Amino acid sequence: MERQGLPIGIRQVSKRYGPVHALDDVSLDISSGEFLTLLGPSGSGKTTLLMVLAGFIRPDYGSLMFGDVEMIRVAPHKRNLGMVFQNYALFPHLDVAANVGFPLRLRGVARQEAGARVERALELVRLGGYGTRRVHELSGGQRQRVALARAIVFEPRVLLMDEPLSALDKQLREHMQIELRRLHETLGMTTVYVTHDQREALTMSDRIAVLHRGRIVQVDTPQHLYERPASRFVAEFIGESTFLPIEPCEGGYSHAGRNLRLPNGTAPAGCRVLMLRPERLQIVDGSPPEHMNVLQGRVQDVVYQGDSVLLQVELTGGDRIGARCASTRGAMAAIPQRGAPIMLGLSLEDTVLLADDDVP
Amino acid sequence: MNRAAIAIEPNLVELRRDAVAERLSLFGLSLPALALVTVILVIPVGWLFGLSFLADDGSLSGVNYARMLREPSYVRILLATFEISAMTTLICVLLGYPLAYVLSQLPRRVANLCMLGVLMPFWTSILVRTYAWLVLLQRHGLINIGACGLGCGSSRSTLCTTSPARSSGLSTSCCRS
Repeated sequence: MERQGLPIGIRQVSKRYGPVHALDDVSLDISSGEFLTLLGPSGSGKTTLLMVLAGFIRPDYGSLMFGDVEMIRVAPHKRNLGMVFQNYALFPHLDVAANVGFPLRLRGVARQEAGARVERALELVRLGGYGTRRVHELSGGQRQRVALARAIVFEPRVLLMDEPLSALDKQLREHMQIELRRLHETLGMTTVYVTHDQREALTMSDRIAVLHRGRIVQVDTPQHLYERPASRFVAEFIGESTFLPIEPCEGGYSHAGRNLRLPNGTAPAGCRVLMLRPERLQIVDGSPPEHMNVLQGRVQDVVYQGDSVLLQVELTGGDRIGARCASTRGAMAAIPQRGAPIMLGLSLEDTVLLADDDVP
Repeated sequence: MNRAAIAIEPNLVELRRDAVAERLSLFGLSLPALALVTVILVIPVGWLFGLSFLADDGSLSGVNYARMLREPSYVRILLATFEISAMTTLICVLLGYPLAYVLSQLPRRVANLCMLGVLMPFWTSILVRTYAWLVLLQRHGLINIGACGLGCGSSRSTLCTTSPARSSGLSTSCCRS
């Protein structure tokens, strides 16, 4: 299974349902062999976009290229895609091997070769020897793997997945995320993955496209998306964050009368809020260091959460923010008592200013 | 669509054409069934309805409808029809709702058995079912004999021609859930 994945080019794809823009002029390039995740809240259009790629939804207009071939008018069964559905959509009357071998049967692959390929696909998803089992004898995670094996057995060059892990419990889901990642690295097919779980998206993807109200609001690597969100919507949707109001002042911006130091000296015009990630705030002792913005306040509450400790802090000026510290003994010892004054430092590269309106 | 618009909205015309073609082909698939329903249902019923507006000599008139309102027997039949249907509905609700509720609370196995008890008479031919009611309700039927034994019935009464009897007979036909 050494074939290269196909690059996908999406151009101006639009779909309206009455007055609602399910997809509003969406353009996106996915490179060969990339793992791209479509992420967004429900109703953002991520599933609609995946269904357009699969051919189950006909857009009003737009263009869809797989490699050099225009696919937008091609019927779903002629697009040669692997697809994993949310509810798996396995055939209950067939055993595991027949389920996995179904795409090969449709393509007229000789029985002997098909048998070997089915067995290989089952081994890839770690279900070797399960061929004669019935689907109803399998657990949720195993069914999920059968659905995956069926999607990859004919070596498609594009693989689509629609929230395939959402029905699994948390532990199994995290395990399967790593498995899927490994499988993608082994097979190298271009993969488009839909989820509303931001953590899942961060774990698995090469790049993430965040959708909101039928538009792509940002496409970036997980790290960029988390550390440099392009809008307040993205910052709120991915990870924990609080926002502090800021005012423009001479040479930049200020919060509660203090000028903010900025990473490159200057910030773009039109920013309204400062984004704070709780785990990027550090407790500062003594004189504030040069490379940080410092926020002063009073500890309101200390919440022990096992892997970390959450501080609730009321800043001088009245804004409330959260800060997260490690729960190691040393770090815990440095946490001030409830009601005590506290200084929190935010390093310059974590100082992110955003416009307030969530949709550009 | 002029050329500029096509360039701005790629494949707009083609996709719209595909959508129309798909809708037409789906409609085409339903044509045989549609034709069958038209021939055996729509046409005969329409024909009968049309006939109701024709007088005996074939001229167009409302004489049939006038007769329906004038003749007391028709009026009586219509009224009886509504009366019996209302009573049937009432009996169905009063018997059916508690029964459905009990069935829904029973263990699955028992509920299925009881459901069979409900369905059996429903599957039985209407003729057999009507005779079964006759066995119960006729002058020398089980109910009347029992009532006489208790001293509250007259040996001469015939239950099966009363309208509650008609209603319960119909109820067994209607009461499904």
